Amino acid sequence: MTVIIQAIPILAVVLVFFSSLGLLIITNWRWSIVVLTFQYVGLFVLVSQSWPVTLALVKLVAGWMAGAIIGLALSNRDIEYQISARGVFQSGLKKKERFFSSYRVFRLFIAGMVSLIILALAPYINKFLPEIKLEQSVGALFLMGFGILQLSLTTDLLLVILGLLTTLSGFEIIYADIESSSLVTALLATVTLGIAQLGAYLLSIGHGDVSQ
Amino acid sequence: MNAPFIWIILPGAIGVILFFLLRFRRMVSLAGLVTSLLLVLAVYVLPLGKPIVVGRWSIEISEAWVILGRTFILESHKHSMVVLLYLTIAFWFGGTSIGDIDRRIVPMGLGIASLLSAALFVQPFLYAAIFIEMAVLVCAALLVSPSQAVPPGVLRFLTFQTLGLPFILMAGWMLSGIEANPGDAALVRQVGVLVALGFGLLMAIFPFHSWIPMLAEEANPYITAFVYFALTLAISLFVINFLDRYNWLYASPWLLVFLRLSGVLMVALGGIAGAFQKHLGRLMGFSMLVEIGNSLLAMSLGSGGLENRDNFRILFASFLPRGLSLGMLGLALVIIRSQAGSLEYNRIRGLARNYWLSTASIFIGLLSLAGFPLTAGFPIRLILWQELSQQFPLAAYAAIIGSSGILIGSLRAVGVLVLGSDQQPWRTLETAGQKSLLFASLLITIVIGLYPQGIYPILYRMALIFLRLEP
Repeated sequence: MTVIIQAIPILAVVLVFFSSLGLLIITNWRWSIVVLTFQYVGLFVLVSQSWPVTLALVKLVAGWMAGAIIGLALSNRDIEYQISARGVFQSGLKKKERFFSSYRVFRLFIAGMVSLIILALAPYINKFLPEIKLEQSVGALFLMGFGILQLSLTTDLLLVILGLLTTLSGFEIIYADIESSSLVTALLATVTLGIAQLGAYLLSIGHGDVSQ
Repeated sequence: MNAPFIWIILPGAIGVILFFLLRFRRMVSLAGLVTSLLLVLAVYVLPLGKPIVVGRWSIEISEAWVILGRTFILESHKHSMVVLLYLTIAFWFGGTSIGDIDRRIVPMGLGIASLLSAALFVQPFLYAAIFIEMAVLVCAALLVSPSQAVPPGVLRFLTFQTLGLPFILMAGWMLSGIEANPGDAALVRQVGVLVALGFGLLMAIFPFHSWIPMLAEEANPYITAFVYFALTLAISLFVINFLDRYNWLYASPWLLVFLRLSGVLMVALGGIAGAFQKHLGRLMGFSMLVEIGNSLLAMSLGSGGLENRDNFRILFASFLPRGLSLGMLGLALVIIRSQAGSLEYNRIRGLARNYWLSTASIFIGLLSLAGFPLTAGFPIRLILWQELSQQFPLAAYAAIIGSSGILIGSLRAVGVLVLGSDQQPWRTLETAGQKSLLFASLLITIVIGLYPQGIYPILYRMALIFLRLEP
């Protein structure tokens, strides 16, 4: 039993790694939302290492609500939303893409390089934050690294919103270690929901196109 | 009853109500204007912390409100900034019903003002960064009208501002650690990088500046001007609170170098790029970059030691002429854009012959932003240049180059606007409301430029009160 409890944070890091990586390479919005919900489960487990579970639950609920808001906005659209191979939004894209398209291979390659940097950097986080656990710092850095990578590789509206949510999630793990104020928890949850709400609004107007 | 309820919750709630009444355009504009002016008046009329006796009833409006263990407090030295914030909102609301302007600006503007007030009141002040981020989210929604595709500039604006939040919160926490262990030079350097990145992202300092001209090109110019002004005001106040909290930073040579170099870079970049623009909106954007650069240079005059802190009055005094110029410029650009369909130079050719008042407003607005003599922006720019030339001549030259670039850009813009056949008569086809607002703005801009002694001492006093250098 103790072994299982000790393994939970490690499993959360694995979950966070694969979900944030998934958000980088998935081109179907439904799968992106599903993966986002798993990402927030990982976030919840890692934050609960520093906070009481009841307070950490706020992150999970806010994240799931954010996913639901974005998902609802996309499901209400009258045209299918798919991210094209160039990482730029296209509506009505029906063509089936190969799994190992250049879009995914490139992103996997870059994500691999970022992962190496993160694994090298993670132990140094303890220098600034002595209380933080290695699992938390690795998980947070994966989220922030892949989130910023997402933001730098796309102009697609959905991917930008998901990238922002991912980056903020990583920050929230680290910040949870140093700040446990209820007000800050509430405010950061509001920011998460606000980003999702804004994303939903932008996706629902003007067919969600980003002008080129 | 308490002050945060009046200046945070009340405008926010009224904004929500007005959002559902948007089809009554004039009524919404008027309600927004009246609310903002009443909130300005309330600062002077309501005695905070003292009982108000009305007949048998007695009410006391306290300064503070504790929410979830943290305090929101309107201290007396912040009164002037609340006045400035709500006056700005009122000024912008005044123009909403007379141009092609998204009517959502009224409810969302009240929401933004409410969030920025919360940023001003919250203790510990560091949480202001989260309220500013919330205001950014509302601004992003306001910048995209429901009928248009999402401009890439909005996404970049959202991304850079959101990424600034973690850096600022982490830097604030680490700075507290340095206070306990000031000898750790490596930690000081690392925190310096975090602070520079955080404020660089929030204040759109090079290389995070690209969203500024992009927004001005793609979004409604009036709303863009509002976002520029409201956010730079809130972020500048946040920076000053940040420096006051960690006041040993005033003496940091790194801060001085960062502010001076980034200021020089911004004014030079904005001015040089502004001179070559072929789009009126982008020209406004580059003028804003020069303004940000000048703000950084003004901040640099206030740093270098606590004894220089009163120099921040130069920064404060620049808010009013900036707001006035941006508001007038934004309104005139909206009028020109609604006629030409775009603000590109090849589309606006000769429009001055039918809209000479708008053209004059664009010209004077840009001149004021450039700090040209006889305009509202000149007196404070002159003081900035004088102070800089004594302390750091390179910055003074760069600031003058930046202003010259905007001046050249504005002359080119007016040159394009007045092109046309000599047979064509000069007319003003603006509506009566547009004419009166533009004329009033022009008059105020020139009167402040001609008689700066009438308004600048008041602005200086407001600044000194905010800085707690005067009671």
